[in-house]
Amino acid sequence: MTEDNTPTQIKRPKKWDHAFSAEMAPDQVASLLEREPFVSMVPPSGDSGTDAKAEKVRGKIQDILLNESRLLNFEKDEVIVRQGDYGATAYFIVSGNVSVLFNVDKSALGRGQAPQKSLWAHVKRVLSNPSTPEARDPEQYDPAGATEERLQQGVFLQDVPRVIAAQKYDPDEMGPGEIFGEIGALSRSIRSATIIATCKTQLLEIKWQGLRDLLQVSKPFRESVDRVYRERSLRSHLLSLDLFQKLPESALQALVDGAEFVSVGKRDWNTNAGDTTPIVNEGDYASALLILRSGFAKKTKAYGHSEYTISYLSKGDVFGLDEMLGAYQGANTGNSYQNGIAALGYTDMISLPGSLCDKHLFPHLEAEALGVHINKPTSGDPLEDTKKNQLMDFFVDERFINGTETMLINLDRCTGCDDCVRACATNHDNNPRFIRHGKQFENIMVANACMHCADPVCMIGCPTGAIHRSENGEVVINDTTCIGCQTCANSCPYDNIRMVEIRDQKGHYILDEQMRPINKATKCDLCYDNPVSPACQNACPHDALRRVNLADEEAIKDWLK
Amino acid sequence: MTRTVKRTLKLLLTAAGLVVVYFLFDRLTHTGFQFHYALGWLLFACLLFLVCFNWRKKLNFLPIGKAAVWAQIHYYLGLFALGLLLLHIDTVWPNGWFERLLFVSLMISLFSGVIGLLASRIYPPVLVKRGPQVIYERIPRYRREVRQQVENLLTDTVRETKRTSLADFYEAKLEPFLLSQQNFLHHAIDSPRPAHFWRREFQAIRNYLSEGEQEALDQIEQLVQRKINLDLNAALYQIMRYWLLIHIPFSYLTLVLAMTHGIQIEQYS
Ligand code: SF4
Ligand code: SF4
Repeated sequence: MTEDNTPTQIKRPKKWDHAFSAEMAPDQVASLLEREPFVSMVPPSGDSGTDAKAEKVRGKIQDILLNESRLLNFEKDEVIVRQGDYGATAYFIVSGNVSVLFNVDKSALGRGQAPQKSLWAHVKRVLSNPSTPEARDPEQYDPAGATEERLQQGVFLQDVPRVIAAQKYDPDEMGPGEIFGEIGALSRSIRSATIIATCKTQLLEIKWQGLRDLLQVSKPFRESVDRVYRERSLRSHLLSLDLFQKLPESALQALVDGAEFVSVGKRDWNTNAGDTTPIVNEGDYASALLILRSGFAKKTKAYGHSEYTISYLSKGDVFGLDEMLGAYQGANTGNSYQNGIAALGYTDMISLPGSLCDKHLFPHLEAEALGVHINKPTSGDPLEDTKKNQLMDFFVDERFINGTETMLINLDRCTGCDDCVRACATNHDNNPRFIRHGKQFENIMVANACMHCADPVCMIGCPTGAIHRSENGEVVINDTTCIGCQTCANSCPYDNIRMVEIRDQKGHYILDEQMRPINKATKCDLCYDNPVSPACQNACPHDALRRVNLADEEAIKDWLK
Repeated sequence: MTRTVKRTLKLLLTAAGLVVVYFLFDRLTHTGFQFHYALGWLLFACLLFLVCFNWRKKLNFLPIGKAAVWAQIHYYLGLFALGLLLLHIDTVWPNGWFERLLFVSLMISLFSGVIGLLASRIYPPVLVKRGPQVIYERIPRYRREVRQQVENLLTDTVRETKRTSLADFYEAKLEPFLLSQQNFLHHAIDSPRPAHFWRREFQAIRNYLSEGEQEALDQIEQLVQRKINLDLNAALYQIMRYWLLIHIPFSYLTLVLAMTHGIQIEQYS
């Protein structure tokens, strides 16, 4: 029998090989371009010079809409986005209206299920795995055979009058020409509100890469999104925190109007991951309450000639409440910050001046609500619990605090049997998606495995949106639309994405027209579509490996005991 | 609950299980129930389940429970099986050659298991304490790198100092040590002897070296420390991995022999 040694050749994958929707037609895009907000994105034409410019911008917008967006229709009361979900798309309202709701009971929202394969499909796939690593069916990369990701349609909000009545403030309404969902999409964070259609509504859903490109193409659009982003995110951010939930509308509005934004460092912080920039120095006059909107900051306490890290602040954490309340209640200690904070790479904060809080926040707080938010008492001596403090320093200095599913290995228990590695390989094309090695603090190792970060910077530059968050928050890569450009691998500050050369089912490398190998980005996907998830943790016979949220100190302590 | 408390509870439970089986089967003897015969089949069922752990590891893509839970069951069921065996043979050395073969095979599989378990509990903390830890598969590469670095240092030193004392020392003593894995047994018991030995050797030669050579010797000493650590890692990982090469074949052999033994008994009874 002769073996077929002909290599498989395919066209090198490119951006927009797979449009967001195969159904998006040029005439639909043309009619959208006649509507707001797209009309205002094109500079007004006049002389031949501006005409040409307008035409160029128009052409770019057309391409973006054709490849990065799709039209969706919703019925009255249908849920469009759910608060708490992750989403990488924003929506323009083409026709109809939508309503913005906060803190809707989960039972009324009909939450989606993780896209799990059936057990049988999973077993079949594992058993039919070719013996060579990284084998793929080349057919899946054929642009003609592109399959559209389906949106889970048809979830209707249950008992609308009750939900509306339970809203603290009258729900905001939005209409044609307006945009929503851009905050979650652009800031890689969870949706801050639930949006439902209030009548038959048509929306243009756009991937965040498309939105980013539109922002680059049109200055007026960029300015309007910036403005809306500031206003909306501030209000919804305050509303998402317990501290502000019981405020009367007038007080909330006064806080929104008087709040200031403080941004330190670059938003794409992977390029300056090691930098720390002081925001507040210990002993400074406590002039404002600070609320972290995104990024991370470390909270420090001076000791001797240096300082040590007590804890870190992440999204939603409040700093300075003790001191501000102390001042409000007339205590002597209340007028200077008891700790310092420094931005880790990048931090975005809301600053509420003391006078504003005294007038519009503190008078409305109930005693027990105050207790929840007061900064935890901090030890004055780092030597009291040396190991804990050093461990905290290690997590903070190495920026591991970003991880929500960090792979910790307890080296006091790990025998190096590699059962975890084998289990991962079995579930992922015969190639493990992590390296059982990494930075170490005493007996704790943070292995090189995707941590499914709170702020996944790897997603920033992906030109196709192949790397994205699943509905449940796992950061995953769509192998079909990945063009192997390596942007994500270079952006990951933890070096947790690997580029692999793929093969066909016979074990031959898949090559492009110029006989160069086709690369794909691979990383841990937390076995998000497998019945055994995560396989690594399940396979460890010595309970030496856990996926942990580094914010959950108690769980880590418990496991290490 | 701490690990020690949990472990004590599991041990107590295993002992209680044995006591229950003993009294239950003993009581049933009065009703014509054959005590040793029943114990034998119960023991066989335990062995079968114990072997399944190996299959669990291969089928880790199926949702059949965490390996850590299986491992715990495996350890305590193994202990329970040992208790059953002692009851089954009345703690007397078996008399037929076949039964002896079965007994020896079972004992080898059991004690290799105990050694594996002890190794998996004792060695990881040793590796942490002696750090840095390395990936087992990379050890040969690191070993070559260490040797290369020592040789480069020597070449430079000989060129600069025009003296060959260090090179002679390397050829006579260091080279054989750097070429391959050494001191397996010392490392297996975490003995400090290899480190002491080299400290003495370095002290002895230091007196005969020039200043330039002594500087090189300091660096070589560090590289030797690294090599000792690589050997330690290699030895401990080898024990933690290769005990299975005894445990698994003997477990299967025991299972086959036990089944044959059972069939024989069925035929003759
Ligand atoms: S390599 Fe990474 S950034 Fe590039 S397309 Fe693939 S997933 Fe996106
Ligand atoms: S399965 Fe557990 S013990 Fe084995 S190598 Fe992985 S973490 Fe270590």
